[in-house]
Amino acid sequence: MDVRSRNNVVESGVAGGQPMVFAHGFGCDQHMWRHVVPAFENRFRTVVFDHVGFGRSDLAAFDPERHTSLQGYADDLIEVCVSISPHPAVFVGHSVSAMIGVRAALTAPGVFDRLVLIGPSPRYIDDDGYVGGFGEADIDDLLASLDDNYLGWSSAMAPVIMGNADRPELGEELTSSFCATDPAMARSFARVTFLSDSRADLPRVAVPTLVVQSREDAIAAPTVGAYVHDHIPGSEMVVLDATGHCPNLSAPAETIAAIAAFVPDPA
Amino acid sequence: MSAADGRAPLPAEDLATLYDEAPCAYLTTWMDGTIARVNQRLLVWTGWSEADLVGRRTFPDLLRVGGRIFYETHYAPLLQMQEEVSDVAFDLEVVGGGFHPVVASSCLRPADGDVPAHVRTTLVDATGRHAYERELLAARRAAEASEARERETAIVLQRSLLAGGLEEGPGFAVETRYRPAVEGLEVGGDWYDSFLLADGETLSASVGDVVGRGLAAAAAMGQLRSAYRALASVGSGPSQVLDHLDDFVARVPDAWMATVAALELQPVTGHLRYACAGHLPPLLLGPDGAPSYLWEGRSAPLAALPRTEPRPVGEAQIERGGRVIVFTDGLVERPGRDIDAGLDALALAASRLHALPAAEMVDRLVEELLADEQTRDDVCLLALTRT
Repeated sequence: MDVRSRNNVVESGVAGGQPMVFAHGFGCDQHMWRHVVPAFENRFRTVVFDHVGFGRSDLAAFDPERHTSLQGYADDLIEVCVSISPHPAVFVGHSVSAMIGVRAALTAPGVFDRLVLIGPSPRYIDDDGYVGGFGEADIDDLLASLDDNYLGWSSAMAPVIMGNADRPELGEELTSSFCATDPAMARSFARVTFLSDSRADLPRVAVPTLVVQSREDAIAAPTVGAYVHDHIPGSEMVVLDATGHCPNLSAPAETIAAIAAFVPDPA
Repeated sequence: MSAADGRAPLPAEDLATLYDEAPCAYLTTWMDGTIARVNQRLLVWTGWSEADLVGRRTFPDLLRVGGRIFYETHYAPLLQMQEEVSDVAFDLEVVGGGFHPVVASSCLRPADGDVPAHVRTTLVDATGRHAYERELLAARRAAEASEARERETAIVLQRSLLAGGLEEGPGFAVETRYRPAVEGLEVGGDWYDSFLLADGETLSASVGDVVGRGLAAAAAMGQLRSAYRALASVGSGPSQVLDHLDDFVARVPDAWMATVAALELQPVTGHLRYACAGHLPPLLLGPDGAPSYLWEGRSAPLAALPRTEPRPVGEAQIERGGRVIVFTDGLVERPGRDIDAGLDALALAASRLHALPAAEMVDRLVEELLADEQTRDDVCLLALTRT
């Protein structure tokens, strides 16, 4: 199995430079980073990829055992990093990929020397004094919502939904793959995302870590971001003047500034 | 004068009427999702007043929680990426309980002068579509469950065709390996079997191969294997078992020309009697691994020729620690290669691997022998060790 085609790995930036690996979150693919990556191409070897089941990853590589835990996706991530460079990378993870990056950092110490976690949540479901923001019934409702929409987004409908004749510059590649996931794999990833509990991982993180948080986020509230910051020893936190769960799309300039201030120039 | 001929006066519709009384709901939101304007239809559907919504709530606030997550993780990113989204199903929460299914489409309007960028959204009633989709979903789930049940049934039935073989007893142990030609099937036209005869001492073992592959061959195999078991249980010896099997096969066209290796071992003494109806010879391994093929007791495949005399039987002695390996042609036959070369390769490998425990030995044997396989055939192997 070629890791690069499995995860549709795309590199740009400084040849032989320190890798900066961007991992997309639940619901989307590597194009999520299109406004952010260019800002780092002059200093880093920038790397984007698609989790298996998303974007233009190899759907045949989806393993019903491996890809039902964050660990499976973390193992994929480690393999991606190893395929790029033997040297530690800067990790930038959005949404659920923040915790996938944490898991990878614990599994393979040395694979990352810095973590940037955008909109992280170690546990989405409320639990005995912990406020994650959702109840278990909410997650069932989400799965039903996914079903509804994948029924609507049948293969015949997809081009109509994704195509945008007014903005041809987006290109067919983007419009046909962004958010167009396999329904069964999306369900599986939704379960992994919303049912995992990574709280015990946080105190074990031993690399410098930055939490980037929108001031309003319905998926990962500022209190959840603060929880991550409080439990990762020595971590920093920046609250962006942005709303929504995807500041990398809605507020790319602020997101870039936060990352750039945290990440030193590679030696 | 009629409306259809175009001469009737148009209804008095100003833009506000068109907006508020449209058969769909409209809302305009700022880029942070806050509602800037709504039409009457939305208020009717949700039960909110305009004052409750404008400047106070966001579009995702109106959705059921699953839709809210979907909005944040799919809808909003898509809208930001391609500036419009269409045909996404949501459920509007209704004040006081219940929900109202809609299909949403949005487009993003850039800032213009003093007016900041904003989003226009249209919600179309989807009560009917929602019910229809629920039916589709239920039908799909029922079909999937039915398919899973059928698959389970098929697997149980297929496995039963090869079930019931003895793995060990006083003085002997049996290892078997099986790989059907057709991927996705559990069985093919090959079989193995081993069981004790009525005397409680004699071990009867057989390996057979029905012509063809797939389910038809497997069905014929199942019949033949059962018939073999019934006929052999009498204890009349390999030759008579094959003779009776000839009569049986004459009435089962799918089993014509099947080949069988029939063995009877006395585990106490190591005395082996065997007969091969068109089947490749069993491979005997001495306790030191010295290989020799058992070439006696040969006759034509089942129901191949009119029978004039009893089928011949061969005899051999298995020493303690010795083995006999019975197999089908899929293990050794390759297109364009002489069958003797395949038999030599098997003898060499078996002799070399003989010292390993039986389970590991047959695993390695099958792996090595199939390494150069080009076309996929049924493969079956039975290794009988005298302990």
